[in-house]
Amino acid sequence: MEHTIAAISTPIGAGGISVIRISGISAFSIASSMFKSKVSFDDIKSHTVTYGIIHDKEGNTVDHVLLLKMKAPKTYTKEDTIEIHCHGGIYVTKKILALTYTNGAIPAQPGEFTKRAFINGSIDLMEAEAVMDLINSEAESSYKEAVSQLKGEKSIQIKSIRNELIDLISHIMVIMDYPEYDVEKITVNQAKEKASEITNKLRKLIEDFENRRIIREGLNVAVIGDVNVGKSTFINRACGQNRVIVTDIAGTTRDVVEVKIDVKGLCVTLKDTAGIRSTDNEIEKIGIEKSKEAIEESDAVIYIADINRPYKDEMFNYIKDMDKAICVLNKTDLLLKEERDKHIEIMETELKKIFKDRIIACSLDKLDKKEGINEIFDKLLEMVNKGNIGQKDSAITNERHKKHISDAIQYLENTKEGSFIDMLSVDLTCAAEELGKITGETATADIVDRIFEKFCIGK
Amino acid sequence: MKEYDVIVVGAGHAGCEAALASARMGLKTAIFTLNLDSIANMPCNPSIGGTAKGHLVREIDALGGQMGKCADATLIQSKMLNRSSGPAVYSLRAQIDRRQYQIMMKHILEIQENLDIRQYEVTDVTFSEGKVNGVITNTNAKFSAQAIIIATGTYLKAKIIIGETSFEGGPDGLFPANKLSLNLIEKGIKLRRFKTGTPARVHRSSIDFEKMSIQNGDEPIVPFSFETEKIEIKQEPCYLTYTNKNTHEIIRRNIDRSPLYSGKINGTGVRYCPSIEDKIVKFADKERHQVFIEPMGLMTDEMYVQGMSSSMPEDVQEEMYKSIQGLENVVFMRSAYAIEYDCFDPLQLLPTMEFKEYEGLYSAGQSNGSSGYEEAAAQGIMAGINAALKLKNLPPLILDRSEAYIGVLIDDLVTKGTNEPYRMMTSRSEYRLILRQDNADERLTPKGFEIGLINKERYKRFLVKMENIEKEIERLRKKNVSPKLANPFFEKRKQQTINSGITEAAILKREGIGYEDLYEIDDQIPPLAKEEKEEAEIKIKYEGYIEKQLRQVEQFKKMEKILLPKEVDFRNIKGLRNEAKQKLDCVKPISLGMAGRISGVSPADIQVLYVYLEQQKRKKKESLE
Repeated sequence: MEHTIAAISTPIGAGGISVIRISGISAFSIASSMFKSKVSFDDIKSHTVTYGIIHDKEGNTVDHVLLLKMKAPKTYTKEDTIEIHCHGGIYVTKKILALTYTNGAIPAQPGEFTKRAFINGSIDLMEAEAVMDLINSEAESSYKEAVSQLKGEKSIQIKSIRNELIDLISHIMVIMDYPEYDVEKITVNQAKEKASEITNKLRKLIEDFENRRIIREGLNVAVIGDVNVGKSTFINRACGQNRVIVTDIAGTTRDVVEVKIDVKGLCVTLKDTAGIRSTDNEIEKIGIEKSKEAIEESDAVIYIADINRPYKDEMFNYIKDMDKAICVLNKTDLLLKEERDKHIEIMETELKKIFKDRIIACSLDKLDKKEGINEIFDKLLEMVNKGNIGQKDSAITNERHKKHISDAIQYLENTKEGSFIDMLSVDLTCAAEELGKITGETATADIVDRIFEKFCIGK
Repeated sequence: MKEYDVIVVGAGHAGCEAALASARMGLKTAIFTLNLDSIANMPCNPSIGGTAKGHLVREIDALGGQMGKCADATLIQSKMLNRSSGPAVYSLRAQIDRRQYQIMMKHILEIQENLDIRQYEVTDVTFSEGKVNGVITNTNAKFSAQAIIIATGTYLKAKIIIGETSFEGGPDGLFPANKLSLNLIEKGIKLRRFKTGTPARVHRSSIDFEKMSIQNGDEPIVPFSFETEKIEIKQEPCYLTYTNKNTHEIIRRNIDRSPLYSGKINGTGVRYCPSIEDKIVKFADKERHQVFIEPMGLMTDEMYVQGMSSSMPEDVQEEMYKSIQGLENVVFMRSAYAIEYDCFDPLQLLPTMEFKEYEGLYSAGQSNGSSGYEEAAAQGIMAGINAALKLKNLPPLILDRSEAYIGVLIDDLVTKGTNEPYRMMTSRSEYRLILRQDNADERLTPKGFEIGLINKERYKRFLVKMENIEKEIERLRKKNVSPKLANPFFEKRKQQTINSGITEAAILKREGIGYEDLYEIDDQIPPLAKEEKEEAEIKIKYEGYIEKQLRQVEQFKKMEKILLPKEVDFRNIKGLRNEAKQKLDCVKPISLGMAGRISGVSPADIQVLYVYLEQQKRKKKESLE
């Protein structure tokens, strides 16, 4: 087992600290290249805890951590093992994991630590079957997570980029496999140009991913709803009651306005989306798209509606199946007494089916009443703590996606040196394989299919 | 009852290689064929090689096979394709005098020691205690053998379809073999029905070549075989013409008379050899399609019309052929036809070509669902080798995907199966930069020598060639050229000049500079054979790429080396997903690597198998203690 693996081994957001585990032959060298303490790394004794900082390649501090160095074979996996205990935030934890990858670790497969523990003999033979069960059940849950993430816009982007790549490869391959046929030729330079176009698109994906994460530094929450339902009131009160880290009031009315606040130690970014009235107007349509985008990128959604007005609009339909959505019915103080019962009935029966316990009826305008706003944030924290949002697997799969995309970029970069298209074809195919690891597809079969789909060849 | 070690059923390209390999490895072998005059027939195009297929021929030759030698002796035109796409995909293709090839191959079989050759239709295979033990012929003659290799091509229950007419019949007007497949089905072997087709043969004198463009061969001719010194012949040209709107119109107007579109043909068609009507329907926008006219041989005026494969009625065929420039007055000699035939589901086979459930029974060639002479021959030689090795109680020879196109071909067939006649393609080979046609001997000749198919004399010559190449690479790496000498050379080629010395290897790595250019700056280049220089050049130019691929291969090999014992019952391994259990049980992979290539088996399933193997190992150890 020559690979060194790394993963986050605690659920993110749930506790005060997170643990990143690294195991394998290069665990120590990977850790030493990103950790600085008073003692030199080699002098740290096995099975001791050392305080220090994790830094990135440029030397910037990422977090203050406790590092546990454990020399083989007295470890769970019987390999050299490092545990980094950091400050629980999603951003920091993911950043540290990403650093282990840039320093040479690879993402651990589901159940891989346990598998190694078994293979290397630290788990009893009796437990072998339990290990085998664990592998597929972990794979199942991480697969589900990956699938749910892949429904989003990013997945469509990855698929379409991969598609372009398959197009390019099949064009090259058809020329190599059918050199005498009437097929538009592609020169080495044309192929390189196309490859660099694709590289740029992948780079953009990674940049977006990084940017998103920096904005994030915690929980990303989209606040959506019609005009005048009380979104601004909610944001203002959220700021008033919590420590404001950053406010961003620049931008036009149609842009998403962001506020970053500290809620009981958890950094929450509220994204205030534009209110939407009707969908006929072109600008309104853009607004809806922006809101949807914000929803896709968010860890949670707070949907605010005016309980006195019809609210089952397009956005309601859009978020109603999302486990990450909280439904806030505002302005209960304006309800007439006789209507109150009717509404409560609706909430009890219909909305409960949709949002389960994620419905809050309140009056955000009443400054003397803190229940409404507190209830919303309590609900949010509860969801975080239960691991329903911003949980462990999503962090790993995201980093895993990023790793595959970076590897694909590396292969595409290699094509710059190639002087014949057969050289190019191999690196391009490897890049397509990497992207296929995200989308769950294999390149060779797709390339052959594409050749016969697009080109009229064969005797 | 006459006794043999190995009996080969069918004497096409697979059967011939299988029988020769087995006999040459010292086993008492018989080859049975429906018709002695149809040995090594080419019922479709009169050519051997081409992209990826040329690699296969070179590999067959490197192992000690026959195809390359016969092709060299009977070729009438030769081309190295893909010269502009890079050495990894250079592909040799030769037009063959079809009849001469057959005559030569037949004679090779006739003079081969240990080999009996007999005209028979084999109608049944007999078993005893689960092992194969002989065959029965149409004349009720019985022969015993410990290994039977089925290489029946497209003959099993073959049916010819031409438009509205269809009849029982094999390729080229030969008889089909109707009984064998029924008897095999009865024994539980899974068969399927495939379809392929061929264009018409027309009379040379009826073609107006003036209206076509001429396609000449390359000079000098590069042989397929390591053993062929030189080929000096007058090459025959081929010709190129095109279909046109009128042709397409004729096809469209008659499309309802095509058995393919009227539902008369049930077999699974080929994407790799589409009929002209397929091309018109699928690519309606394309204004013209290429048509290549190829000679069938020197002693015949029959010409093969590549690109015009069809199952249309004869009157439509003639009408559409005549609409093509240069074929206005064409005279048909044989009509185009489609053929349907029985073949085996290759998932039933081990990578040795032996049936998993029927010990001693092998299958090779188109009867495994492949397409093409070269694909057939490649499987044939491997089946012959493995049957012989088994009878000699020696370990099998399995080529993996990193060793040969043959390995890719067989691995694809037995791991993934196929839903249409399988054609070898460069695109299918992930390690194509190291699986080049120029280094086939380097990859495979030591193996051929080890099993006894390559003789000492050839092996010695091979070692000398390898040494020459190595030495030359070493020399080029060391030889330093001063800026004074190198810069005029670079300037002339509009290349960047240098300030300090540079090795010849580094010069050769530059784009646009070839080995032959080095003569300008080096008067000490040793006298090497052309292919030695070429390989030294490729190895230097591709160094970085070759190293990268070798690293990938290293990773790949690790998984290939973890073997799954034959007795593993995948259905009872806890932790595998149900889909994986079914697929693994069907394919019965021999290694963890092969298991990973089965569609429906996930990386997590492979991890489970890994743990399972470790569990078994430890259990065994504990029980010993």
